[in-house]
Amino acid sequence: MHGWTGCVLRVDLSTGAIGREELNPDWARDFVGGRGIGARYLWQEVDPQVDALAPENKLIFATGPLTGTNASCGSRYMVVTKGPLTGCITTSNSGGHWGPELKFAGYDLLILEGRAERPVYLWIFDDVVELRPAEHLWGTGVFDSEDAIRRETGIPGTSVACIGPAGENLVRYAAILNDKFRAAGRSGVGAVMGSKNLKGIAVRGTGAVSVADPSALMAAQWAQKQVLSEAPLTSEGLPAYGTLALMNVINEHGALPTRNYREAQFEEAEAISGEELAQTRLAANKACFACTIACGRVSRISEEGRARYTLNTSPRNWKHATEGPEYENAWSLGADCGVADLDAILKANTICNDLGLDPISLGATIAAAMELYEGGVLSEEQTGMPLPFGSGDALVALSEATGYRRGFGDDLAEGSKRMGEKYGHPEVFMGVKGQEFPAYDPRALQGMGLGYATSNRGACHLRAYTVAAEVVGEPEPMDPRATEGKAQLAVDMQNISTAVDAAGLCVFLTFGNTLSDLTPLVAAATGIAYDDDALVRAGERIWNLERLWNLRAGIDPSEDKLPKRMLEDAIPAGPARGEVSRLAEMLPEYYAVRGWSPDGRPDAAKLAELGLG
Amino acid sequence: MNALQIHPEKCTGCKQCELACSWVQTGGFQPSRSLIRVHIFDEQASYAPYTCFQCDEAWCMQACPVNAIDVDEASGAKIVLDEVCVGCKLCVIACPFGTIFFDKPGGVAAKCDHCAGDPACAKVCPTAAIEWTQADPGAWIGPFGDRVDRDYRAAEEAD
Amino acid sequence: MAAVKLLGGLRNKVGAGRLDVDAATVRELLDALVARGGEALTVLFFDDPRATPTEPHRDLRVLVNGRSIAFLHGLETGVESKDTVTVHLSGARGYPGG
Repeated sequence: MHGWTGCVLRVDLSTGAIGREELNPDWARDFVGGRGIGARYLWQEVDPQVDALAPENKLIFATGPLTGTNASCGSRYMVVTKGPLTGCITTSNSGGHWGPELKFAGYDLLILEGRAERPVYLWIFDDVVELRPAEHLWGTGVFDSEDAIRRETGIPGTSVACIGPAGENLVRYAAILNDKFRAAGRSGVGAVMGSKNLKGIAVRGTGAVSVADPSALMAAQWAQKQVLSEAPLTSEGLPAYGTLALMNVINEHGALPTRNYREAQFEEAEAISGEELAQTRLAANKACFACTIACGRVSRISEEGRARYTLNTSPRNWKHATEGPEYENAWSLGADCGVADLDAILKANTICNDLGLDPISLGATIAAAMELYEGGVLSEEQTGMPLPFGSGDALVALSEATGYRRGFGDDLAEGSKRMGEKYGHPEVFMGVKGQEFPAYDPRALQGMGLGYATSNRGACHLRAYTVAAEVVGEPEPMDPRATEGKAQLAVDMQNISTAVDAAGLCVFLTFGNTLSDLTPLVAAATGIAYDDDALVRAGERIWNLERLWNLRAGIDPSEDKLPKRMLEDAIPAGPARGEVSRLAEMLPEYYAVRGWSPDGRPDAAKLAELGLG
Repeated sequence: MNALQIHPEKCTGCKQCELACSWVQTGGFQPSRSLIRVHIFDEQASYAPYTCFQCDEAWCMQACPVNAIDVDEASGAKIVLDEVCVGCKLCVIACPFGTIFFDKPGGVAAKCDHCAGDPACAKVCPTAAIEWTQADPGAWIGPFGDRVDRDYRAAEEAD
Repeated sequence: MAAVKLLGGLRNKVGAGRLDVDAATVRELLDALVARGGEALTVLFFDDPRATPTEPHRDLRVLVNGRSIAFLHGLETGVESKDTVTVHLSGARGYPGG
């Protein structure tokens, strides 16, 4: 095989058995890779009704055919499993260098099953694959764990993906971190890893990714890269401000959820914006493997911030610097909690990286708790500290408490849905299917509401990024307050971004590239004559398979919904004042565009058409 | 004569240079076979691609017992003559910069040969951190080393 | 005087992040920014700077009170003294977000 290595590595943590098997070539062709092939294996091997944290759940790390090639942004791997936050199939994506190293070691997929009796980590060095004891690392943060594992392997260039205490403590939104700061962040993939007593996976590969037509790939990549270097957003905007460029833009549209989605504009947005970070705290840009955009931020905490917050980033002489924050994190830890202190956000974000937490769900859960505190439902006795909106100190203290499940952190570790239910106020949960919303108000941007409601992994911005049309104005401007055409837009974006995920690419390249720039890369790497339609069709196939998996897991289509606050409570002030989400206008049309039954189920004809029958 | 001029402050650590070099070497994508390597100085939030400086006083060439390292007249690069090399690794030991590699099939040494005057690494670098230009190829290493040294000392003092 | 907010790289190009501008339309407001920041801005602001511009540049985003002028009256959108006008460069291509 070309593009794919053709080899699946399977590790049974219960027995310690390590096996290699051939990648199913038909599945590879039809589901491409990454998110797609991971879903296909999960569908085959894991009962959707299984408890996400039981040994019967499997944890799949899946690369795509372009992972490890020179395709711009070809660094990605996808973690596919059943998510403990949502009960849905979850597909959590990360960049950095880990995915390419797995490919260079000779594997497309790594399937982990069972549960180790005692904490272990997995060491993969080309053909050498072994489980090593990790009891001495249990309880240790991501930064120190990664350094220790790299020291123990002794091989330069080793990349480590690991969990922190949050994953060990089964925090429902624990993340898996690789290269210290790149995260497969959402839905609790880190808790699944923790439930298996697996601390980390260290990998170093010295082999090659063989491609079918190297010259064609070089030519296609050159063309792809030129587009990225000419589009102002990917050549100037993202390198200068990172994703945080969005903070001011979304706020100016009146679409920046504030104080647990009770408002849609944050008066202090400028203080936590990309412009502010670039001017006062940015140390360098950092790229993932093969990325020609380099949106990653290396940031230093400000001089005055150091009096309040010290960073435990290691090595020790890097202590005032950290990576991030991304827009989503600065929003969840910032605007959503009413926090305007960029240093507190940097500190909390760094705690998330070190303890292995998803900052989106963490910030949103703290925001929900702040609402309960200000409403008199939660007392200082229960929370252990004053918890008003805007408190950076509470944000930092609770980030740490959550990772260790200490005190009130034990409630926060369950996510805002369960936390709200426990205290009798389920209405403070702002999300879908148990997963917290990201950083765009679906009342101000109608398409995002539809995207959140229909995402297969619970609320997510990366599945149907209608912001592109509604705010950025590409591929063409669409009125954010209209519902017309949003169903088709959401379906198109879901299918295309799924194909991008499956190829092993980063969705950010679509800020410059169209699918037509990417199809030749996939074709040249694999030697299979994919065209644009075939990739869109693969995206649709994967989307439908994920949907089927969720239906079998017992996630009813009636869960394609938004919280009452989004549907009934109008935005109180700002440019989008008076708006509510009109999801009911879009959802039936969405099902129709999908070719599903009016109650949201793929029917036999649709499945047969996609080869899923 | 052109040389590879490195600007570490522009490097983002993406390794496109390694991918391009390995493609030239092997026809595939295999960074472990690249003759240019990006060193990640996480401590400084900094990266430095490094390869052969093509030293005037080339110790690899002087160490070679069979004269398998020669100067390419066109590009000025020191190149390994595969058919002469006996694989003794003396050049690997002699090189003070660690930029002679010994992982090529056939058991011969490998080093940067400037792609015969059109280096792939410089061509693909997205941030112009590697430039193919008339310059002293070693000029960056001194200031960069000073900076790394200074940062370490400052950190030690702060402890 | 309308309150103008500039975002991102445009701040350096104009030399300010916030300023008050006296203008009756978005076109006049952009002209005022060119007068302040220099002729180089013309190519960033208008589709064809040589002719009388009818459209803003495809990469330019202008919001009047948080509403894109693409859904108002383009360059002819009226500006009043109590208005807030946000101007920034976008510059995406492709099919953002997939």
